[in-house]
Amino acid sequence: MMDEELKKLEAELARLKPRQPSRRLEAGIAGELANPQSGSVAWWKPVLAAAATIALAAGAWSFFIPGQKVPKVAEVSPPSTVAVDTQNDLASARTSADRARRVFRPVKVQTALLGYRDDGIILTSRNRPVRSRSCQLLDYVELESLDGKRKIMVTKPRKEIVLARAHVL
Amino acid sequence: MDWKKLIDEHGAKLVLYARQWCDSLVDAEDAVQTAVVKLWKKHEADESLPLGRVFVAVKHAAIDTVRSSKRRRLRELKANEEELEGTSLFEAAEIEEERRKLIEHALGRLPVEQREVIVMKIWSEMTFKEIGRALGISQNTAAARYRYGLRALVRMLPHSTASTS
Repeated sequence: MMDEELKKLEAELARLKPRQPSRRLEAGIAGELANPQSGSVAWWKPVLAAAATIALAAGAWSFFIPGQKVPKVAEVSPPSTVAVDTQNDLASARTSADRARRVFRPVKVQTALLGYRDDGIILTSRNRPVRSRSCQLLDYVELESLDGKRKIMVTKPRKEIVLARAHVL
Repeated sequence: MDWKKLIDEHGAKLVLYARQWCDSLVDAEDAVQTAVVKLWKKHEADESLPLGRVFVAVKHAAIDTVRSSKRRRLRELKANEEELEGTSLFEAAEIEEERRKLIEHALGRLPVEQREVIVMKIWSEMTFKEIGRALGISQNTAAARYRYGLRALVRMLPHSTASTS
């Protein structure tokens, strides 16, 4: 009798579907992985640091050798975070293939809330009590070249202060 | 370790599991996030990470979340927001709303050792062997906790037989 009841209860419980996590969870994980904290040290970090030190030392050495020209380093500009699809930019692209390769457009945007803090109630310049909350956000913009062959992911952390009316009475 | 796939396939179960320690959905999601990020950093290249390891990591993260006084303070604030979204553990299902609430309430009254085994067994479809390995107990202990938990639920839900068909 008891076993039968248990089986019925098991069946009933199995019919309940756990609530799906919010979008915040996926965005939060993506945000944390995109902006790793200094907690764990990856194996390649010391290697990279050593390589950078050697490169700097080599650069300084070449700079101080008399009669030797300092090698010119090509300047690489960071990818633009804004789509380059205005008429002017299009005109600057020489051919359509070149344009398809060089012009990027946003294909995905997302904002992750990394955390926030309640700063309590503050008074505005007009002596109105408002509740202030500092939010740490991370904006993502995924850009894709017009030919679809290249992708750039741009992330930008930002801080936002949200003021909400505080009902104190 | 493909964390997106993990969240797609098991995210709901992991959050439900975390809620056995966390009062709010926000905290439970925070715990899952912490656990997944930590695991990913350690086992990025490991394609066959057992689900039991993920559950254990979520459990530890959930306990840490609850212990943290800073988070506790934030939780109160976040809980207000959560009220707007609803705090149910489960999706609206074939089971009546009232009945679902009764089940959630009864689950919440079980000792956490029994609850976690029930969650792993029923909603994550893990075997007692897998549960035992994940929790560091024998499979017999896992099965016993499960049975005790279900029996307690039957006692707390006197009309359970009437609402099932």
